This record gives sequence, structure tokens and C-alpha cells, in this order.
Amino acid sequence: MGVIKGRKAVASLMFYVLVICLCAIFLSPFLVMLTTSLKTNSDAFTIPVKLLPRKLVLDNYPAALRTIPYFKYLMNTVQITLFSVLGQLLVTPMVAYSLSKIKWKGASVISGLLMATMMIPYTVTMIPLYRTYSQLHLTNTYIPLILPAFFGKAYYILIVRQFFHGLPNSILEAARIDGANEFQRYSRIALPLCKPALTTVAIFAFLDAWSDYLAPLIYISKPNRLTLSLGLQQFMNEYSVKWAELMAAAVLFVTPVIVFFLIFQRNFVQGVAVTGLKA
Amino acid sequence: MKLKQRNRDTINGLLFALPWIIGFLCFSVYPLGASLYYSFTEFNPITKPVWVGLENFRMSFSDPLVWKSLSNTLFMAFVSTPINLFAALMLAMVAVRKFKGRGIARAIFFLPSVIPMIAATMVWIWMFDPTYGFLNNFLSIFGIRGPSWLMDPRYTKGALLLIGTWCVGASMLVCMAALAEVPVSYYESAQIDGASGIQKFFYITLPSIAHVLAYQAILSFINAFQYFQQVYVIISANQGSATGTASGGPSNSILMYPLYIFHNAFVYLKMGKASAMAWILFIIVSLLAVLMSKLARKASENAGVE
Amino acid sequence: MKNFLILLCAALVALTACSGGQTASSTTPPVAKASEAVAAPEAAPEAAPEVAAAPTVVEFWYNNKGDEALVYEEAIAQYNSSQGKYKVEGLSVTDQQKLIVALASNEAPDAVKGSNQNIVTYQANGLIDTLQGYIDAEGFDVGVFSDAAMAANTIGGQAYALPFSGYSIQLYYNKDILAEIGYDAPPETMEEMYEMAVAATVLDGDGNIERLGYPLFPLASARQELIYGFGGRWWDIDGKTLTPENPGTLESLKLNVKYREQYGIEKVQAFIATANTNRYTEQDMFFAGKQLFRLDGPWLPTMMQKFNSSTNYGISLVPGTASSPESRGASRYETDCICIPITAANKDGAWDFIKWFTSKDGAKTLNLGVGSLPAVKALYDDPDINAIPGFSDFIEILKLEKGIQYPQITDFAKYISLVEEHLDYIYNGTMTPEEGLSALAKQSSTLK
Repeated sequence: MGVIKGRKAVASLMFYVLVICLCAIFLSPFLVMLTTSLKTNSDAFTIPVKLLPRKLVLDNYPAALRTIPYFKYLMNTVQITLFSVLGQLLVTPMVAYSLSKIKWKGASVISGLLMATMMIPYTVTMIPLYRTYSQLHLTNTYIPLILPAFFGKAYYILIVRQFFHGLPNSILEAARIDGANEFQRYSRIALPLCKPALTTVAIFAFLDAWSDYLAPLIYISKPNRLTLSLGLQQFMNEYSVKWAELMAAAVLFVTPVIVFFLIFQRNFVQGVAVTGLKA
Repeated sequence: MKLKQRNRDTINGLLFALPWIIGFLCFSVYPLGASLYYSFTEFNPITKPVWVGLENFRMSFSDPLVWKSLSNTLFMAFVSTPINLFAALMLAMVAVRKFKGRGIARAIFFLPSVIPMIAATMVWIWMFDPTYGFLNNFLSIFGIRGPSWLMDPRYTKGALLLIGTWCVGASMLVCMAALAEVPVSYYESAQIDGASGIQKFFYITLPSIAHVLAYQAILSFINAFQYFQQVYVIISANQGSATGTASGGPSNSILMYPLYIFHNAFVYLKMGKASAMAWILFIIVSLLAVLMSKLARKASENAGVE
Repeated sequence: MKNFLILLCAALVALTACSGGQTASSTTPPVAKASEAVAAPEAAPEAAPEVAAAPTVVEFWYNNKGDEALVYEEAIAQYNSSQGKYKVEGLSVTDQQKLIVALASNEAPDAVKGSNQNIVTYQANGLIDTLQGYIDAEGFDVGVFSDAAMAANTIGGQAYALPFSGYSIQLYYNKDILAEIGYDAPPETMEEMYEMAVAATVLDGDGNIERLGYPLFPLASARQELIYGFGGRWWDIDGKTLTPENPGTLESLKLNVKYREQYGIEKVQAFIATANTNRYTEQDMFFAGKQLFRLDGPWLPTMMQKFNSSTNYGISLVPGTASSPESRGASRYETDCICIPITAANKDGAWDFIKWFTSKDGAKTLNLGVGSLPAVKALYDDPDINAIPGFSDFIEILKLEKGIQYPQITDFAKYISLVEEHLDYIYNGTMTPEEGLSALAKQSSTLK
């Protein structure tokens, strides 16, 4: 009896050691980012390399804000992100509603096509879209980055559709009997009910827009219109890379995302799990 | 009356789905068609497409860098998929257990897949530095002399795989959800039969979640064909601005197919050839997707029978 | 959810309001650019009525940033105050790829700074206009520029850009290390250089390289000057034929590989990787006295001064070989120059600006401010320019006119990519130099 108990204790201790090691591994890049940002550049390049700064400095942060017009880029990024989120929130539930709560033949066709569009690599559609926007004189505006959000994205539609599937039809049926038309049923009953799913969509849309790289890379070339992710890249265009400064800029770029994640962690987890399991 | 209702439903359904239908036509169907047409023409952004027949395809197939980039991409797809799935499953098996602080552990495992890829890549570039980087200094504690990760073509892909494994959080969550759905009664009866932990894993866990894993594999595969940001940033960091336009990393070992399409389109300005390359990619991805979903269906059917 | 949406909308409205002007201008198609060009109505509404008198705007893009960008702005201000017909607006665009895309759009600037290597690519893609029309019409004398600088920007007899500065790569050596190993003069031949390099290489207890003798870093110089010195060339002098299997190239690579094998391929690789990370910083290998030789450009002494490097350096010509001493001093020659995009709206204004920018006065502001070598011959003897550390040495070398021109082929960028790929194979021992070059020849045979 005692032996078994002892073995169990050892096993659980081993398990904790494993978890702590894994956590340390996954956290180490964040740690490196943070500590490097608090070092002087010459400290970062001194052997032996130490994880912690020899002398704690905050200079890299103001310096990083000067090297690139950080607040300008921040405003640009926020602008793109907000419009993208808005677009997704307007369109996603509508389409999802059509696919799961209206009985029509197109629903299954569209559901199939949704899956198919998720398989189209961006590079395949990139060139014709670029040409079109370019001919419409829309490069160097945010329209190419925002516009697609107002037409829905397969992944988000699937999240909300999945959620709608879980709603009993009887509620909508009752409203129909009360004489509510389709739009009223959607806006007064379905939409308020799918709030959790929409929160998830908003979070994903926020992250996608915030981190987007390839589209801004292609469409934005004027320096004052760049986004933060492109701005970060500018540190690499110098003849020598100031790593401590770059890490400070990265901390500033990543922090909002981490805060956001910690607040909405539950929605994240559900969103990812739902689409992964049921799609 | 009933027919009328059906018509009304169809109209409503269409109306509600209209934004997506328009988007589908404008952002998927049109570009796909246009890029097919463009692949038979030669143009740059300020010239009109000129019909050149199969020239772009001929040029693509005779371009050694097309083959190089394709093999790099296929390598990443075939190697990263099993590694990532395995890592995701293992992490999920850890995170799904009940222990103190598992909420924190889960958050930590998942966090890397949330932060913008560009920031993550930059931190890793710094970590990979052979002398000042965290990784090699960490390895040296165990007496291992780490390689020049991003300069030595034998290790560049390994570096990419490492970054990929670090970002495996989303798959982990899906695996966790799948694991949670395996009925406890299965394990209990296995326990009574005296099955070992490993046996339980192979005879219960794995078959029960096979369909989920298969779907994750397809996604991971398709992602591998989208590989762009990481290599774009790594290459520009390696070169610095002084050497001009980017190539493909040491020995072109991380010249990925999408990156080479991008180079052709937006650096060499050969948009016709880039379109041809894009269509080749599209065909490959479609074929693989169909093939893999067939395999996945078969796998889950088999699992169902057992 | 509704509240959230309302909040979101409010935020959007606020945001659009505070960045209103910019969003509006960003969504208006550049038809507006033409009107801007006429009168710059937004900037100076009062001046609008007298359209004829107002200067027309010339949009000029350059790829410098930070302090260097300030120098460009300074030069632009000088030009603007020197005349009243045109008003140049400068913009710093550092990403080469962005520049190409902009040139290939209908939003191209009126004038663009580039290097002659870029000019060749732009011209091949039909992105820039020839300047020959202006030159012929005005009888502009291109003889004020060094022959090499002008030739670098002339394609098929047509000038496509005018140069205002240039650079070549030469041999820097650490005098103290050289004295330590018993030499008092820099090498004149590659054979000598190799001998010295081996004598100067220092390893630590584990066989790691502490001091690199042979100039294998920067890699760009190893690909160029270290090969040119052997008489090797990646392309023929006609600028059209590729010569991947040049015997001089092979000879250079053999020595390169010999050095790598002697000290361990991995160890050399590790040194280079670190050197690349801290290039041009305080810890730069040459600045820190960890490199005997360095094939690098004229900017090095100014940087060393900035970082208080104590390295006691000398500048000499890239060595030749015993059998071909005339190869000595062979180096790439690259100019900074300005060209006019084909879709530019204000080409006349751009030409006027280019003439001033590449004149003795304009170029001098740039050369001094940025620390770049002159392309205008009249500045060769300018005392201010010669006062920049290292410049008098480099100007003497420039006068030899030994610069190697870039070839004018469309697939140049891809050829270089292939060259680099195969050099990597050779450097890390996957292929012997012979194998690498013949594989390169095979793969590059289809390039145009």
C-alpha cells in the first residue's frame, strides 16, 4: 500500500517537472524578447551571454518609438483592424444564419464551397487582385486590406454556423408563428443569442488583421501608411540590426495581443476547438 | 402555400448569404479565372498582358529554382505535419489532465500561436544567433555546440520546424477537445482488462480521435503551402539591406514556393510566370486536399468499424 | 453584443474623424495627384488662384533613413530655394521591393534614387524613361562624371540615370596584426594574402576561430572582389554572356575552400555567422581587431570613428595574383543615381532636379553629408571631401577606373541567387569548387 502511494507521489512529481520544463521551453522566447529589450545593445552582444541584463535600461523603448513612427503605424493598424472586425461582425452571422437556420438548397452547396475556399492559397489569387486594385488606383489605401472583411471569411462563418446548429429551431419557429419575418427572427432572436460566437469571431478577426503581413506588404508602399508588422520589418532594413531596440518594438507590438488573449482566453479555446472538431 | 414558403426560404437564404456569394465571386472565382488567363500571358503591372501560350509553364518547369522551392515546400509539408501533430497530441495529453495550475500551463502552450508571426520570427532569429543567441548558449550548458542555425543550409529547415512546433497551440486545443470527447467508459473497461497505458493510447485514444487528427493533418499540409512570412523575414535579416533583393537563404534552402511566386511577381515583375506558378501550386494543393480527405474518411471509417 | 457594436462604431467614427484628411486623400484616386502637382491646393490654398506662378511638385523617393535622410532633405531644401519653378517633395522609402512595386504602378514618384544595378533591372522591365532626350536636346555634358559612373548608367547607348556618388570595395588591413606576424606592407598578390592570413589566424582552446585571417566576410565581397582579384568574373566583359566556369573564379574558390578546410568548415561558418550578426556595430569583427583583412567599402572608416574603434588600419588595393598582377584593384563599381519612372507625372521637373542634384554643388552636399565617394570628377580634389577618413585613398583608387560594371541582363537577380546557392554548396563542402561551378553552369544555361 505504502509503496503504491510512494510510486504515485513520484509519478506526480515527475509529471510536474515535465509540465514545468515544457512551460519554460514555451516561455523562453518571450523571456528572451523581454530581457533583451532591457539590455543595452553592447550588453546583448557581450560574451558570456547572460539571460538577464547586466544593467537594466529602458532606453530601447523610446529609441524604438523614434526609429519607426510607432504611433503613426499603430493608428494605421488600429484603423485597419477595427474596420475588419466590424465587417466580419456584420456579415458573418448573416451568412451563418442562412446556412443553418433557413431551409434552402443553396445552404449545403455554399457550405461545401466554404470549405473549398479555405484551401485556396493566398498566392494564387494575389496577382489578379493586385492588378485590379492597382487599376482602380487603390494601392496605398487600406481598401484592399479591409474590403474582403465585409464579405465574410469561411473560417468565421463556420464558427458561427456551428453555434447556430446548437440553437433549437423551436425558438425561431415560435417567432414565426407570432408573425415575425425572417429578418426580424434573425435580428431579434438569433443575433442576440449568438453573442458568444460573435465574440470569438471578433477576437480572431482582430488577431488576423493585427498580424496580417503579406497583404500590407503587397499593397502598402508609402512610408506613412505602413502597418506595425511592416514597421517591425523596417528594423531589418538597417545596415546593422539593433537587436535590443527591435526586441523593445516587438514587446510593444505583442503586448496588446497577449493582454487581449488573457482576457478572452475562454472564447479562443472554444472557437478553435469547435471548428477543429466539427468542420 | 407550402411551395410559396419554400420559394420565400430560397429568396431569404440567398439574400442572407448574398455578401458571401458576392465575395466568393469577386475574391475567389474571378481571381482564379483571371490568374489562369494570366498564366498564358506575359506582363508586368504597367503593361498589358500579351498572350504567350504555354511559354510560362515551359519556363517554370525549366527553372531550377522552381524545383528547388517546390522540393523545399514539400519537405516542409511532409516533415512538419507529423512533427506538429505529434507535438500537439503530446501537449494535449499533458494539458488535458487534471492538475494544479493547468489553466496557466494551457495558456502558456497556446500563447505562441496567438502572437503575430512576424514578432515571433524575429525573436527566434535572435535566439538562433550562433554566438549571442539563447538557443546555442542554452545547449552549451549540456556541452552541445549548436550550429549556425540560419546560415548553415543543413539546419535552416530544422530551425523552421522548431518555430513551427513552438506555434502548435491551436492543434493542441483541438486535440484536447477531441480527447475530452473520448468516453471514459472505454478506458474503464480497458482498465478492467488490464491494459497498460501505452496499450490504452494505441487501442482507444488514437482510433477515437483519428478523424480529428486527419483533419488537422490536412490543415497543416495546406498551411505548409502558405509558408511565407517566416522565411521572408529570416532572409531579409540574413542579408541586410546592403545586398539588395532577397534570394532564398543559404543555398536557397528556405526558398519556399510561395516566396518564389512573390519574388517573380513583385521583385522580378514576371507576373505571367508567377501566375503560372500559382496555378501549379493550386493544382497540387487541390489534389493533395482531395487525396488526404479521402484517406481521412477511410481512416475514420476504419476506426468506426473497430 | 449590441453595446459592443455601438462602441466599435463610435471608435471607428472617432478614428476616421481624427485621421480624416489622410483617409480622404488616400481613397481619392491619384487623379488628384495631377491637380496637386499643379498647385498643391491643400498645402497652400491662398496660392491657388495664380496657378502659373506656383511651383509644380516633383515627388522624389530615396532609400536612406535616419540621419542620412536628413541630408537628402537638406539637399532638397537647397534645390527648392535655388529656383521657383519646381518644388521637390522628398520621401524615404527603404524597402527595395516596395520601390519596384511603386514604379510599376500608376502612382510612381517623379524621380527615384537607385543604384546602377537597380537601373538595369528597371530598364529591362520598362519601368524608367531614358534621359537621352533631355541630354541631347540641351547639349548636357555627361563628361563631368567619371567614365565608369556614366557607363554604369548607360544602356544600349541611352543614359537612363545620372550619378551623384559611387563606391568601390578595397582591402582594409589591420596594421598591428600584420606587424605582429612580421610583415610591414599589405599584400599585393592573393598568394601573399593567403600566407599572411594563415599566419594571422588565431584559434582558442576548442579550435574556435578567434581571429579570422582570410577575408571570407562579408560574403558579398567574397563573392565579388575576392574572385575579381584572381581575374575571375561571373559574366563576360560584354555584359551579356554569363561565365560561371571562369578559371580565375575556380582558382579563388579553391583557396577559399582550402582555408575553410584547414580550420574546419563549421568553425569558419560559425565565425562568419557571428560576424554577420554584429556587422557594422561596435562589436564588428574588424573594428574589434578580430579580422586581419576586410574587403569593404569607403564607409568603414567613418563607422570606425563613430564607434571609437582602436583598430590601426590601412587601405590598399584588392590584391591581384602573381600571374595576373593587372587584376589588382579590380572591384565592383556601383553608383548612386537618379532616374525618372516611365509613369512619372512631372518629368520636366524631375529632369531639372536631377541636373541640380548631380551637379558639383548638389552632389557635394550629399557626398559630405552621407559620406559617399563622388561621381562628379570635379569633386575628386575637393578638400572637404578628402577630409573624410579614408576618402583620399579611395579617390586615388577611383581614378584608376578599374570598376567592374554589372551585366545588363534581365535575369541578373536570379543568376546571383543561383551563384549564391552554389557558393554555399562549395563553402560547406557539399560540392567541390569544380562540381559547384559546373552545376551552376548547367542551371544558369537557360537564363537570359
